[in-house]
Amino acid sequence: MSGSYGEEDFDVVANYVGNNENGNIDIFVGEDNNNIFDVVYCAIEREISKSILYFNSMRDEYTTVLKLYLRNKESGAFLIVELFNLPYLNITTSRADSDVDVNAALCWIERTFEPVNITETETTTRSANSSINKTATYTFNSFGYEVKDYVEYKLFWDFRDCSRGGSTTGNAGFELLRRYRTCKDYPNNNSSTYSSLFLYCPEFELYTGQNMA
Amino acid sequence: MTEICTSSVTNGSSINITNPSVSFSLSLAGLSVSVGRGITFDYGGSHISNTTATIHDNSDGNYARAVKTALDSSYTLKNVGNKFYVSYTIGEYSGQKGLSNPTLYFNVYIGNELDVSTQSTYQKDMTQIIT
Repeated sequence: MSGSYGEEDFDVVANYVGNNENGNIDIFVGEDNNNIFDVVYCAIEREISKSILYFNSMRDEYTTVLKLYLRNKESGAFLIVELFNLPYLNITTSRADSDVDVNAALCWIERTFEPVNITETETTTRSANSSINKTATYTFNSFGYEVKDYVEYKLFWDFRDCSRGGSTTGNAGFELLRRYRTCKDYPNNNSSTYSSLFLYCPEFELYTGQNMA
Repeated sequence: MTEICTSSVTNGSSINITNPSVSFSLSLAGLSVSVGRGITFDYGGSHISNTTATIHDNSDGNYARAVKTALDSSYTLKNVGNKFYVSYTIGEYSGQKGLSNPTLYFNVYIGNELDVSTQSTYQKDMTQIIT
């Protein structure tokens, strides 16, 4: 796809990566042969009543859109291209990319912008359990709409008493439970299995009481 | 033999519980995890455990056993079921009252289950003869 804006030309070649969870988005990864823009997002989307659009007023008139979002490598300015009412494309290319690669390509907002809000909540109580579940939520602003990325994880511990002359075992740790991604207003790009969040740098200090002997 | 056991978990906000009457119990402190943001990452290469572990040397003479461990920063929990954990056994080989040299043992197993190719464990035997 070639075009120009002002005095800047783009010449984008994109390769098919795969489609999203509900099958309405075919995602591509591309490059600008002129090396002026980064290709931030390139996709063909169907049922666009469920899609986040920059040109919002087109939502009710058409059902398909080709999105090409470019960012100038020097200025950082965005060039938003949305072409509506595309003919149906029968993509027969068998993709070799993994679901992770596909989802990573779909998460352009998370890749491009910082979150506008970060929260962390406990979804289970600690009082009667030897573990707690936590959910971290990163909220992003996508053309005025909230996209939320979630990661749920468990902190578990199992401490047991040990009497003199006896022995005992125990454990403690982290476990990742779930990752998912939502936009409640326009759910075309939702994922029940993927978000851009993951856990890193877990660490423990595990110790006995003093003078246990 | 009775110890006060205080456990704390810190991750953004701090939570504390106190169990007022336990023996030989273990505490967990500084349990923390960071939430990162990224799109693609690779585990890469074979490894042994991808952990660092620091063992308390008992230099203060208080006979506490402690281990501090962390998962290498290049490794992440990103798939459902990924784990990073510590398990332990603790006890006495000869704990009868009146023995002059009771032997304590405290074995620590540190493991991760990141995916099939990166499961690993690390074991440290911290057996100590109390003299």
